[in-house]
Amino acid sequence: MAERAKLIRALKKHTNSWLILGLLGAAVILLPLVPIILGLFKAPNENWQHITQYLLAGYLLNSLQLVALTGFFTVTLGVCLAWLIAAYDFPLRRFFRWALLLPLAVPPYIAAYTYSTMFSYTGIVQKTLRSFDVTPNPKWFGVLSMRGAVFIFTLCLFPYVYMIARSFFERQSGSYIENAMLLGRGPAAVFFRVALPLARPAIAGGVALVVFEVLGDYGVTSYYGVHTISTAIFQTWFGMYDVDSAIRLAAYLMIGTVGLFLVERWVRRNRRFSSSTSKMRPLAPRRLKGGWSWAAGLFCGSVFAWSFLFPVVQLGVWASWTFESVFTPAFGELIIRTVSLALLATVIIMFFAVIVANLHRTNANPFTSALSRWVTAGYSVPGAIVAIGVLACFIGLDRVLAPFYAVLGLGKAPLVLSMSLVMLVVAYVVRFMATGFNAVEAGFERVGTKFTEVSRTLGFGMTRTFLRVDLPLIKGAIFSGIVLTFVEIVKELPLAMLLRPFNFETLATKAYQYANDEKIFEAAVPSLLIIGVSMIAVYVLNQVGKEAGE
Amino acid sequence: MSVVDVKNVSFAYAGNRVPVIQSLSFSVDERAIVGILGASGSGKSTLLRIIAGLETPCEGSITIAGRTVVDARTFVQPENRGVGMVFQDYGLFPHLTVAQNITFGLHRLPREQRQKRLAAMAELVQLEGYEGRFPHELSGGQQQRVALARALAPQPSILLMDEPFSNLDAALKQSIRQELSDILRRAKMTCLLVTHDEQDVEAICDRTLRLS
Repeated sequence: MAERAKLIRALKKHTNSWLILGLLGAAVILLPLVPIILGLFKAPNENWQHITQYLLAGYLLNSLQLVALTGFFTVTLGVCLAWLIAAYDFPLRRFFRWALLLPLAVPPYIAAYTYSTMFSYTGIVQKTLRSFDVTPNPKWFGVLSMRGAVFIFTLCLFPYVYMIARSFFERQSGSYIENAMLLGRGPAAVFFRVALPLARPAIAGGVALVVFEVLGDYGVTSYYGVHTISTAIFQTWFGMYDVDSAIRLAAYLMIGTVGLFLVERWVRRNRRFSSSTSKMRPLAPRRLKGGWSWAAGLFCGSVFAWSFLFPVVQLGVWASWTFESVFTPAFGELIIRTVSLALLATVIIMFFAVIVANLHRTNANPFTSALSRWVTAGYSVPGAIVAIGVLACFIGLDRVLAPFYAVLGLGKAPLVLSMSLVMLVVAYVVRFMATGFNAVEAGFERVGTKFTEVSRTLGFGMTRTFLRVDLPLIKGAIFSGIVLTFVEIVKELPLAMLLRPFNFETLATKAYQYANDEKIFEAAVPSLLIIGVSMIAVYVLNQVGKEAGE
Repeated sequence: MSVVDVKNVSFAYAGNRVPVIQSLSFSVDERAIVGILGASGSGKSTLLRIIAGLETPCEGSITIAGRTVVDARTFVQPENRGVGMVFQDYGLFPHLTVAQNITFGLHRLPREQRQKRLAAMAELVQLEGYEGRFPHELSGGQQQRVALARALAPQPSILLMDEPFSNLDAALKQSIRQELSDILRRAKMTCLLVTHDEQDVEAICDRTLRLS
């Protein structure tokens, strides 16, 4: 009896418009995943047998190989660079410190067709070699393969590992490393025996981001002809027109990524125990001397050149050839459409992100923490899965709404919602909620609950408190959330490819379309625009990192 | 007449079986200044947060000015309890001026009365002329007085103060104790004050409650 009264009290206490809106946001994210989970319980069709018999093993093996190789190389490259920058001082170190984040602005699919053209027989690399009378075997430059995909992913994604590992080395490891040096250990021992083991959770966090990107990729793998589970989903869907089997494949991929997601959470959980909360002294970099300092600068420089400078300069050259023919009024319209679509989705995302983050912060209980985990799960779900789930949902919704459409005189059972942009917007919301949410949550964490509590005791409810107190205090965090989310959406490819209405293009799909039609030079213009916009996001990420450091 | 009645209140943090507060009962009379003494971890601050409505007790009931604000079936939100609170680190809104901080809780008053009340408060805590400043431009003692003025402005039925002297240095403490005592008595406030320092209680309070 008393328990029931208490439950009712708790329900009354917590039920308000914030909770209802938060639940609505969670439902939007949950619904697209329902058809995929249900798909597992349906009886498979004949196609499925064909897929499991001839294709699945190969897809799976390719996916695993891609993930393992990319993971290995991004960790090696990212951690080496992070250690070099954090622990040593050498010429141009301060420049490379942030410049090595810039490759994040180059979406892998753009790097993919840029490099494949640069390395082709008529591309700049072989041409230059031939001008020196060196005629290498063209096979050496065959990037259209697993090898090429690993190369591209490593160059574009290593900054995730670099960024997280560097900030760990810089902020958390100072006293341990100084202790190790005082105990008389050399640089190699300090790195392998102390720094690397300590950084393991941070590295795991970075590599998890890399793995999710690789598993969710469509652009690179399909352009390079590497068949993975993600591309297989597209193929069964558009090649065989077999949505059921595509859903089943998506379900398997989702089980895999959810497993990885849980592992990553688990690893990060441990981090809280390993890093003490007391203030850590930052690591003071040691000056490298002579040849070593030049070698360090050269190493950073060549990574920067290959991962950012070369492809961007190449795209710039191509863009200057085709700028006039590509940049027509229609192209201007395309930009406006891409921007307004991304803005719309960003606004919706930030709205729900703020609501769920504020709910979780003001009423921290198992329910709200489950809610906040749930809305951030989308980033680990590959685009192909989100796309197919959203499509299945909207086709179902159209079926339910059919009588209503008939009343409106739209004919019998037309596809209204599932032919509209609404679907793409919902997919963006599902996929990128985490980006906005994490930014808002970081802002709330910095401010704490103190001001909110003061405001509550002064007679302001949750909404007024938010508008008068919380919002002014976290507006910087909200702004960076807006920028990061907006850029993610602008450069997003697979969702836009799959869910856009007929004849609707975004900058990303246009670039990819050009590239796919062998019009690489034309693709350079939209590609450079995407890279330019993404550089803003890299700048914001860098600023956010700086603030967190203070 | 008692302003606050706490009956059999118990509280445990989520996931923690051992309650911080167990079956605590007491009442505070009108215009009384009651000190709550106890070692750290004895639940002093938690008690204030429960009365303010920032935490929910697992057992017991609380009445403020004759109205039940929490029992097994009722929970009145903090904004509707008519309680003023001065937080340990003051919690002055960094984006608002002194005047805006003090008038923050007066949103239900018309502008004219709000200004009057602001003037009265500034006079009470002797901060006339500082209305346009921002919190970071004030000394620790001045910040505390702004926090006090802000909490008193809406005329709460009770003022809760959490370790009001913990952020001040020893030299300042003596004079501010006296000042606070004067302000509270001039404002005819009922006050519940948490501290770990016996001297605070001796200097200000009419009555002491010890938590163990």
